[in-house]
Amino acid sequence: MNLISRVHSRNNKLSIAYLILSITSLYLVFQPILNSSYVGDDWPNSQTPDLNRWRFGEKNLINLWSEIAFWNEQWFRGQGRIYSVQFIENRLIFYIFEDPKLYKIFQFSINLFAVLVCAFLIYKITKSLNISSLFIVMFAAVFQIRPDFDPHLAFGGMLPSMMIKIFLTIILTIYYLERKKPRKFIGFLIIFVWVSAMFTYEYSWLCLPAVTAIIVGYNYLNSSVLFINKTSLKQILIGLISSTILIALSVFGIFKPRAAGVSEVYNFRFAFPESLTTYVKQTYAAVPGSVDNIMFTPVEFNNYPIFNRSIFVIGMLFILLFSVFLETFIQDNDRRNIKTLTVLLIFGFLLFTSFGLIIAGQPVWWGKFTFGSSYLGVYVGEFGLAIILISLYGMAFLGLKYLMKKLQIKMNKI
Amino acid sequence: MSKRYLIIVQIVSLLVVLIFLTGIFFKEIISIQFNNQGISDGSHARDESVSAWNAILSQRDFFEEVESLDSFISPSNEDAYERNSGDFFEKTGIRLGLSLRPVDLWSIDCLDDSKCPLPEFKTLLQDVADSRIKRRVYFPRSLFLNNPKDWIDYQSENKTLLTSDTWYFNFVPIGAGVHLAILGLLQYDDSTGTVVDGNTLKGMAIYANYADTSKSVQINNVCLPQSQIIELESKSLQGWKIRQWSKELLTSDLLDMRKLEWGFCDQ
Repeated sequence: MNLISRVHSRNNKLSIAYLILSITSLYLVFQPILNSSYVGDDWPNSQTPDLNRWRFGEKNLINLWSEIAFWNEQWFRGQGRIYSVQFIENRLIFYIFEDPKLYKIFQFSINLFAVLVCAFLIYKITKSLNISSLFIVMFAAVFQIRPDFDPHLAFGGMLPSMMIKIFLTIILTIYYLERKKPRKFIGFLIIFVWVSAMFTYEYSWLCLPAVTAIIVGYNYLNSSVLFINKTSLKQILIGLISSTILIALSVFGIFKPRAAGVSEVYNFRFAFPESLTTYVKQTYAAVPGSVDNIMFTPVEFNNYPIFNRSIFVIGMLFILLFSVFLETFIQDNDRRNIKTLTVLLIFGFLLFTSFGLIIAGQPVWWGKFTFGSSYLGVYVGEFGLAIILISLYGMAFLGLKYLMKKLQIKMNKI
Repeated sequence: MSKRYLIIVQIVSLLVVLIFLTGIFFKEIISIQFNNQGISDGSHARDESVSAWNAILSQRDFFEEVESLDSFISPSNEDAYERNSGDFFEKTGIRLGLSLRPVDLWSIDCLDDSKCPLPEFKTLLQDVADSRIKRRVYFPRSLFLNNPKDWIDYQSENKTLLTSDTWYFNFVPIGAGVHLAILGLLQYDDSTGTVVDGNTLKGMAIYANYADTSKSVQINNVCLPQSQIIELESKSLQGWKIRQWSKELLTSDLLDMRKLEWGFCDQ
């Protein structure tokens, strides 16, 4: 094996080791999810299997379907909201995981899976295992649990489920575009997954710009080096955009006006400056340390014994972050360049800036939102922020290397 | 300058910059992780209440007079938590007719006024069952002939709530690690309104392992008798101890549920 192969072989082993370390860091920081109890809507939702058993006499799939269909119809007729996929998933989850401990294992797993799917997407874009691993570490560093309406601990994994579908839409599209003769089934599957995301939670609608941007960005990055089926690209973009517009028009144009009694919470309108200030407050909620404004409060180390799990987690994170910086001197086989990082940055930015719009358009929240409070959509912002951070880090690193090269050239001339 | 020296300078410079950036984030990461753990720990605030509920329901004898299709009027009923007819059915095997709070049947004005006789309850319960939204059948019922019928529909069609028993049931925390369950048959009289039959009244105290069992529990100043303490195995961190209940607890025959009081007593 020659020197270059030896270097690549060593780099790949280190990259894989770093990936394992990064997943371990995620496993550790997600321990509070595993150790939590029911929170928020999970309390009433977890009673559903028993109440169904009482009402219908036994627990079976027919009664489960009856429950799902009933509530789906109530929300549809009453509020004009269609999030049927969420009802199916939520009721099924609580039927299967009646034991709270099993439910928490499921919740932990789906949160972990959502991050890993996004990391895989980043790998497909950047071809870099290191950047994907860095994303996992960044997410582990920025993710926060909220005292109210927490998307990690509650709501039956609705937000992770939605994000998984969004990322899968993009991943499937990438596979679809790389085929000279793609199977039409895959094309329909992409639209099906996207529509499923929209019927999981309405926040997914706002992710359309980000999804479109990353697909177009992928085409831009790869069309000169890989085969990209332009016809397929147009078909997918038209499919995604038109399905979103169709569903939005149906909901706001047909179902909501005919709904029996739309709650004040689901009445949308925008006003200045209330919507703008609420938007800023909600977007701020994704910033690390925003929960309860803890970034402005000192840490009371004396309250935590030396062998506390948190200390270990923090130490692990610190080591990992430090290792990131060391590890970046060892390049894996990636095409890390400013264009790739810019595409990632745009994707992250669009995710980060999208989720605040829903709360900004709900007058019922205008007076209640303060800096430090948040709603479920902040989950989207966490992904956006982690992607922004890895992009900026990569750009900064490229910039530093460029400066160092310039310095070296100057020194050589002297 | 040698190339090796230049490389060392580059590496050290980059390390200094990147370690500095790491240090800036370090405090935030610590704060966030501590806060995450704190919120997670805080989600266990209801654990003791849930555990005590499960302990009480495990005592099947306490509910031996309650039959399926009987109903509860329970101030502690809460469908959003475990204190509902579904969980009760799952843990005791008793399929109640309805389990409602007093405020679901009677007006708040009457409930707040102890001089207002509480109206007759069986007709009101039947009205509630009749008014509940009938569930559509979302599947071809003919394909599933053995599927049991909707319990609310059954009660509505057969007017079972007019003939079955209705019980006052309450489950309350009364002190550090101590919960009290109270059960008594309801009856209606034109002169008294809806009252609890004192001759059927029972109480059961649940003590967590850390609670002081030297004090007993009283209902309307009548102490639960000192009795054998049953120790329950429990999956929770706390075990549970139960002080036996007693019938014929009180001298008065008819009790206004709004005037029931409870607490500790020395015995």
